[in-house]
Amino acid sequence: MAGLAQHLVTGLAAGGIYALLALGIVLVHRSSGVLNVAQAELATLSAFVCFALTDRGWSFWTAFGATLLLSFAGGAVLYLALVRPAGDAGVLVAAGVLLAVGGLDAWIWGDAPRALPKAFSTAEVHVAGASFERLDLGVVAVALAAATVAHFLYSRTRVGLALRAVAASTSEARAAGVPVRTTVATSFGIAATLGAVAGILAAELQPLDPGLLRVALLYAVAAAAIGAFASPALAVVGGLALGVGLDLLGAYAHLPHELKPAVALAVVAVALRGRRP
Amino acid sequence: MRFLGFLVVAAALAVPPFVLPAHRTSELATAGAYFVAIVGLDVLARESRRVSLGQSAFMAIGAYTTAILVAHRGTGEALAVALAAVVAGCAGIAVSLVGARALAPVTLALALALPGILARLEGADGIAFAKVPQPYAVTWTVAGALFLVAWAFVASPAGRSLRAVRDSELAAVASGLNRSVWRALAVAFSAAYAGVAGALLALAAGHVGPETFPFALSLTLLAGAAVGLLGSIWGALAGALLVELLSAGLRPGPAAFVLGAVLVAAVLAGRSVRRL
Repeated sequence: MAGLAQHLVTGLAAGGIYALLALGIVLVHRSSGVLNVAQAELATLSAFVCFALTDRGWSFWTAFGATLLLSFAGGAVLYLALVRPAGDAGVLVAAGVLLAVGGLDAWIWGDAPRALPKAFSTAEVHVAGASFERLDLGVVAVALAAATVAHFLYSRTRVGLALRAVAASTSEARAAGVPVRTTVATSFGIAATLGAVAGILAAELQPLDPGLLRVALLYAVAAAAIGAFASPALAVVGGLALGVGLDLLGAYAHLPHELKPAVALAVVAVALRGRRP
Repeated sequence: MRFLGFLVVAAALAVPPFVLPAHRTSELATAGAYFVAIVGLDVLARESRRVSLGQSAFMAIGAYTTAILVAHRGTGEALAVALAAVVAGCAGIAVSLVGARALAPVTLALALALPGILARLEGADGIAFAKVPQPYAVTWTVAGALFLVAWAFVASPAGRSLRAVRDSELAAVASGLNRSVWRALAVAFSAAYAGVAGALLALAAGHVGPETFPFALSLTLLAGAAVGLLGSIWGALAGALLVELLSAGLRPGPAAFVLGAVLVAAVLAGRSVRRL
């Protein structure tokens, strides 16, 4: 039982990262109709920005906050400058950004793995016979906190109301006086901020290199696909379930590591049968 | 007139083996395989207005089909390439039926999941076999022939049916066209071309591995196709040469950055051209 509890926590830590990425994909897809395939790669870039700031002597949490602000601005600018002018070819622009940002990371920081300062100690916590890494617990807590803030923003604030109005109908939202362009740009900003949290958390768990979230993109798309790219709640639940499920399949069903992406492929195929993207 | 243009380009492509050093020629052989894959993307984008992020996966399917047939079964290269097209085309039909309206996420998932599946099935080292002796000549001959086939396909009644489904599904269905079948045909065509491209690359290298066709290749080919879509179908040639020259001339990081920027710029330029 102790082993199961440990797998639940490591699975939730990975799943929390997928959930935040998936939540970003869903928010952007709801507001703009664009499948933002660059979500994970932008998150990796954010993690590198955080690394660069801590490298210059900033404390971890200051760098964390600054990275979130920069990511919000970057996401909004990305929409206004590149995605919006592309109209219905938004997914192509996102694919180009995915390629370019991955190249940029490798160009600036190289392929050698970097290490972010640890946000939480790696000491172990013992609860009822099971031992957990404090780091894993911290990652789960931060991921859940970020998702909760996003939920509050989406359901209780004027910004969230505008986001939901644009998601329901762009033309009717415009007729009702919602500033559609600003609102969609905000959704890109929020998605990039959630991605930044995911990227930094992932870099806490693994060494930071340009390929940090390359496969996580697949898990995030799979989690978002569970709710047909329209349900934030299902995206979060799906991301957590994928994280835990893959960890348990690996531990108890001896699913080889290289076949985990194939499970996500099956999830995408089943979830999207005959659906509109 | 168009055919005359084809002959001029074909004649120009016959020159490099006589004037360039051998390693340059083999790079240009790679460009020929990219050209085939890009023509496939081009037809899908033009005639069906859809984007596939899984061209690298269909190339891997074609390459592995060829490698298994040549290395394990002793099949002739020509038959192996033809079967690679068939197998990749069938994979395209399956993908289209699953992701009828959501091609981008399904192809993305396939491209990211396939390397692991291939590593499991055929081992992390992949398959090695004898190279073909003249990769440049083989690749560009096949590429030229497939280019003509694509021309004929687009001009044929099948091409008209594809455009009918693209332009108005309602009108197309009302005139008796089955939209799932035509959509699947467009994806299958594109996937079969990718399959041949992968087969040609495999035959030129004498080796395939799980990481020979990474997801990033899908994106660089999209960049080549986006350049091609700015002009006529000839643009696919410019796109293939651009992808090959940038990949060979720069380190991987800068090359990916420039190709990504090219993809974004080509899409935005295409939009502003159409708006004029």
